[in-house]
Amino acid sequence: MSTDPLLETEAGSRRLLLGNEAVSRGALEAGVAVATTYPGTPATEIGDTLFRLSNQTDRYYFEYSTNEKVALEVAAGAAVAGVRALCSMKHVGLNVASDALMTLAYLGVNGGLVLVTSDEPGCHSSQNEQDNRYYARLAHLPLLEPADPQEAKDLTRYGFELSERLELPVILRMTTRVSHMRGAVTFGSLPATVNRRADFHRDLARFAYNPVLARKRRKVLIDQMHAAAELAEQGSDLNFVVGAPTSGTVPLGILTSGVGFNYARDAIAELGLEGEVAIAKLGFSYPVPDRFLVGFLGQVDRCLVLEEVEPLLEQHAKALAYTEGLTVPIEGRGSGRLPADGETTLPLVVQTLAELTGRTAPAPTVATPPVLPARPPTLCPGCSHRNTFYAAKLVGGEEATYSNDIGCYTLGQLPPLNLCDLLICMGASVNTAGGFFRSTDLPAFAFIGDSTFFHSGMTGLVNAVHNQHRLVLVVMDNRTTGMTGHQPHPGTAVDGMHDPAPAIDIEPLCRAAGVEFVEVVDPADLRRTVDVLERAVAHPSVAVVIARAPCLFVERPAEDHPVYMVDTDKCRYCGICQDHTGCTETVKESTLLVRARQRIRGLGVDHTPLRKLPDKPPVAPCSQECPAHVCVQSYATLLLAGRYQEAAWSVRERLPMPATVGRVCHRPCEAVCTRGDVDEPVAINALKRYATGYESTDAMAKALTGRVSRAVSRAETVGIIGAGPAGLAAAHDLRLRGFGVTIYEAASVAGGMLALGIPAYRLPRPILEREIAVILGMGVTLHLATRVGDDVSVEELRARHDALIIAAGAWKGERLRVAGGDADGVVDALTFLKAVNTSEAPRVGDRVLVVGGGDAAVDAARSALRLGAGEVTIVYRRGREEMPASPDEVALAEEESISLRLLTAPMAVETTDGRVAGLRVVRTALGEPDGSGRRRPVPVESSEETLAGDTIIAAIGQRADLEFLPREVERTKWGTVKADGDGVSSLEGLFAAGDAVTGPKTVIHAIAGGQRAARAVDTYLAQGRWEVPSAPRLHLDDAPADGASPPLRYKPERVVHAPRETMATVAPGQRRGADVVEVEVEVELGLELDEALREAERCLVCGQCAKCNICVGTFGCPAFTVDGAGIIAIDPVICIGCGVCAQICPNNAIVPAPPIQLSMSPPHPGDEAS
Amino acid sequence: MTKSGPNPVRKRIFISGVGGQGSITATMVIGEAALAAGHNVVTSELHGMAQRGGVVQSTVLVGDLHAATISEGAADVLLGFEPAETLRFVSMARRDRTAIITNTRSIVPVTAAQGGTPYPPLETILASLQEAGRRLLAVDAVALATAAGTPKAISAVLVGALAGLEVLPIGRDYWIDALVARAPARFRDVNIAAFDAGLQSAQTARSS
Repeated sequence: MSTDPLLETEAGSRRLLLGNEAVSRGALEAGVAVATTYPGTPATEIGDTLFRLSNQTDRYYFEYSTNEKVALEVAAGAAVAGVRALCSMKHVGLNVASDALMTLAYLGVNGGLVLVTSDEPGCHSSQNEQDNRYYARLAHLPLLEPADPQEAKDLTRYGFELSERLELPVILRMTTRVSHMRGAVTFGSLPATVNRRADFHRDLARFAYNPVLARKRRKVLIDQMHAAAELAEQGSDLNFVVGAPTSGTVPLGILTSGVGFNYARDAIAELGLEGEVAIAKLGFSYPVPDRFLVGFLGQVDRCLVLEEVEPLLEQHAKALAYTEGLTVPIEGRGSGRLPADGETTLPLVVQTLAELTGRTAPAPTVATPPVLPARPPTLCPGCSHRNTFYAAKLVGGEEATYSNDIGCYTLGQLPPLNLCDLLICMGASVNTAGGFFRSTDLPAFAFIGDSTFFHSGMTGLVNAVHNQHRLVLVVMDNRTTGMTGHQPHPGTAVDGMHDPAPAIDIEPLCRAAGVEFVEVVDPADLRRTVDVLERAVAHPSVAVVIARAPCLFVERPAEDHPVYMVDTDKCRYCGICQDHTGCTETVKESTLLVRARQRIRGLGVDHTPLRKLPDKPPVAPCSQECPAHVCVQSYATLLLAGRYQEAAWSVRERLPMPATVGRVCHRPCEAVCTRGDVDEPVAINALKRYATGYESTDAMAKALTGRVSRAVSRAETVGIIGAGPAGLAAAHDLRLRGFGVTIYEAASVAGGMLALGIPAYRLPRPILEREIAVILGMGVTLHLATRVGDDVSVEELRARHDALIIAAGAWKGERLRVAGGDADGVVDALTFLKAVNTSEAPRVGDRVLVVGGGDAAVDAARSALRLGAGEVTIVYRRGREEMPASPDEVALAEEESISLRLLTAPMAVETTDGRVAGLRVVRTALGEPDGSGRRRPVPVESSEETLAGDTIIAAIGQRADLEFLPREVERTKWGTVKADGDGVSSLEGLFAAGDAVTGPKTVIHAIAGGQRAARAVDTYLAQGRWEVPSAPRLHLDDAPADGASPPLRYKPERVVHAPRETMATVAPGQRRGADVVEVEVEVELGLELDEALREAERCLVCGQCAKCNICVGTFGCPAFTVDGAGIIAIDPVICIGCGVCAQICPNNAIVPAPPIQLSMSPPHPGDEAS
Repeated sequence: MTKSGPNPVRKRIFISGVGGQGSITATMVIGEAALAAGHNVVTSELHGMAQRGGVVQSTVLVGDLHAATISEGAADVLLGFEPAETLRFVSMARRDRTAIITNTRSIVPVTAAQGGTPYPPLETILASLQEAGRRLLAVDAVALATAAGTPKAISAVLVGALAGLEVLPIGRDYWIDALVARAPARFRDVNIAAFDAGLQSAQTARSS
């Protein structure tokens, strides 16, 4: 092996060295015998250089010490013994070592001791920008400050001489710009030999510390610092003036130490100030050479102090000038001439010199870059820390505290992991977690690296055990000191001399400290890691989980390692979003994490990475079946995660009137719920209603108006006929799309069937009114009591608006087509309910007969009861199974003592004096299915009878009343608007939605129709042509093409049976309010929190998430790429083949790639071919 | 102490790239070559998180200069290892002064496709760079390096392109010596071929 250039023994060669390398060379030239460090940017390369050389020479002993305090104490022992010792650390490391430093200053040394601190003005990779020159003043120690690599070498070498001359440690202060600057360094010679064995002389009177000695040594220290000041005065190579006038003064003087000298010289050259500015450069900057400084201040008209971080020299110079009676203005960071924070920069110095000398600083016109995608630092592809964090996030979720520490894993604070509730300094995590434990009820996690654990985590662990803090300490054991460049530490089997060394095992160490729960996991095994972390959280005292996997820089993947790829056929989207504003990221994140947890625990479809399994159908059946495609699993999982407001928002994402629908929906979702295959369907609507309870009206209104204001404003306006659910939903969506919207409503109240049809005991009016107000608050104009056809014509509205949506509903009640059907006392259900709901409380008799089996029949019957009817009977010609009304509503009606006459058909109304006296009926039996698929009721012979009654309510159907529409608008045979699924009619610019298209249907259908019409209007107005293409439809396509049964969406053996939660109801006897019309009592009380959570847990989350990006969005390995179209892929050059992403992909879409030619190890600076 | 050399040269090279691309190696090679050719040199690098795929910036200052940083508009050469990273530091360039070299092979950050700022099209980047300096040399360094023997040699290609601009008064031998000294011997020929490919691309562009 050729000799490393840094070990050249001869003087004279000139090489490009990093400032930190130059320190190491200076120490070699000084004959250093013992060198210690703890790695830390920007000081790391000092130790690393000595480590690199330690097996090429026997000149010195080098060690990576456990921490900075240890490093200084080892160096101190060596220096007291009598050899030269070097100790280096980053600036904050000196805080750790300061305990030793303060007293070592009193005691002094025999052999030279140079303590190197590298400060970080600007905090490029540190947590603060403390100025360690204070330590020289605090401890009373000499301070040297190099400006470039040559000085770094020279001052290090000089530092040893100075240290021995004064018998004091000497501090060499570097800064990032000196440590990480490369410059030409002319070498001095190395000593022929280094005496590594001290001639030790015991000196109890000097080094055996006690208070008496301390008082004595303090005097010595003060004397020695006076001597040091004298040396600083004399050191012409160290402290000198450039550009001093031969006589008189120059207009400006610059007092500087360190890197400021470089800026000063370049700025003078750039501004052409040669001859006008003198520079006093202090390399030996403490004690400040006062005579030298007074001489300089006498040569300048004003003085600018350039120093890094704090105005120490400035303050000293000002005090000195005061003492000496000088009036020269002195400015710098303290006076406000320069910023009090951050690094000094060349442009700053140029600008300041220009100001002080009346010059103009050059201001070249430069291009400003556009906003570019950020390239935040990230954990390496395949890094085990990501896996550990991910597992912890799956276990702790939002409901835990995460204390972090200093190391690569600090990056766990970045998205998408976001695991860092507190990060202070080395070793703090275990202690701050203890603080969190003592002050919150949340599980406390602490993350610490192996090197940091040895550095200062162990003491905290002992504290946590002794003081019985309950926390989970996760030791991110990657077998090296990762962040600083992979140095050995006490847990590695090699030392700073490259010799085999005892590796201290963390596991028995923790056990010896009294930790009962100590487990080692391989974080690449997510399932086991999650299991262990869950047990750790449940453990009643300190738990230590050692997540052990070698850093990829330590154990490189083999050159021919496999890589993974994304099977784009399997990677997919649910499709729900395609026509809506899209899932919010928070909704997605929560849903995705729940999914990942299920996946890892083996719930859901088993996705063993290497085995091909049937695909899970993309969208949950409930979401598909719901006309509005409400994403149920998102709010179920958000409720479980305790994110209640977000759950409410998730409902609102697709449903403009969630609290209303949460009460009155006919719940087609529950009929197809996968859970129903196991035991009972999830109580989806009850969950929805529960979630909406967390909505704040104000916040919701503000958020929606905010969305409207952010939408691109459109010039076109849309008229909507009808303020029912379809019209309101269309208005809501059109406002979000930026259109102006006006609604024309015939009634004097908005809400349509919701306000006038559905009774208040099912839908309390304050809830409905609030939801309508929020929609109107988005900027919708509403004209009430405006009947189109009477008050304004369709033609007028077509002229007024760019598009028109017919959402007029189906308000014409079917008459009872039997003899006497028009007798006094016969009313249709719609008329009846409308009267109930408009305070014109209709009179009902004592015995009410309701004909029909739908929701309107049940609503009418229950309303009649509330109006004082003594006996209410529902007469229906088919059986209970065939009743279109919601079974729950029927059950409630029966609870209220309403009786059912099933399989009974009306024949004629019997009258007395023109008034209803009863209903002649006939029993029926069910025959063959009719056109509707339901079995036809067939009269049973000789079964006629008369039911006594004085009021008959006919709830047998309703029709759209569209007389006001122009003739050219095509109709269906039922009299509704003929329109496609998106509400596009036969007349240009005219759309329709809700019951006006479908005939009497449900609220959720009407809302979905309104939403689709809004989209169609947008498409029409955007493209300016009447051929509006149909929006793609979400369709259930479970069945494999070959006709086999569809794959199961869950693993039956893993589902724990749990009964469906039911809402409490008001006791039947208490359901009538004091005033039956004004104050209705809502019968169903909604779920309680514990019930809602149990119910949410029953959701199997059996569908794919909208726009699944679980790999990118929650795991975040940099090997993933996403193109402009959102297609996710894995970069084979970056992938290291760990396969952890394949463990979490819910679609089994991440699979091993076929072998390829190109293969590369993780990126590593300096490792590539140059 | 650093002394002002007699050489009146003052050249400032600003280098940007993504961690792992070899821009720091290139910085050292340029510095070593300049030093060997008799110039004063200072270089700097900011790469606290470089190995984690972050942005890496470095400088080489040749001649009578002391601070290792470059002010806006003061670069003689802006050498970018990745198109967006070249553009990110475009304010280092001055219209009438700066030669810009950029690798044309993009490394799109994942953030760009996660609802973050999109990665601009290459043509847009090149058009902006074209406007920003006195000349633009756009090199597909990956293609040239691959042709020379390994895609990892993009650093040698781009150093070659810099040499080919002849902004720095450094002879070919100094470049080659500095280049081969930095890499294992088995990469010697590949690196030289890659360097020459870069050099060639610069010379072709200059003569056209």
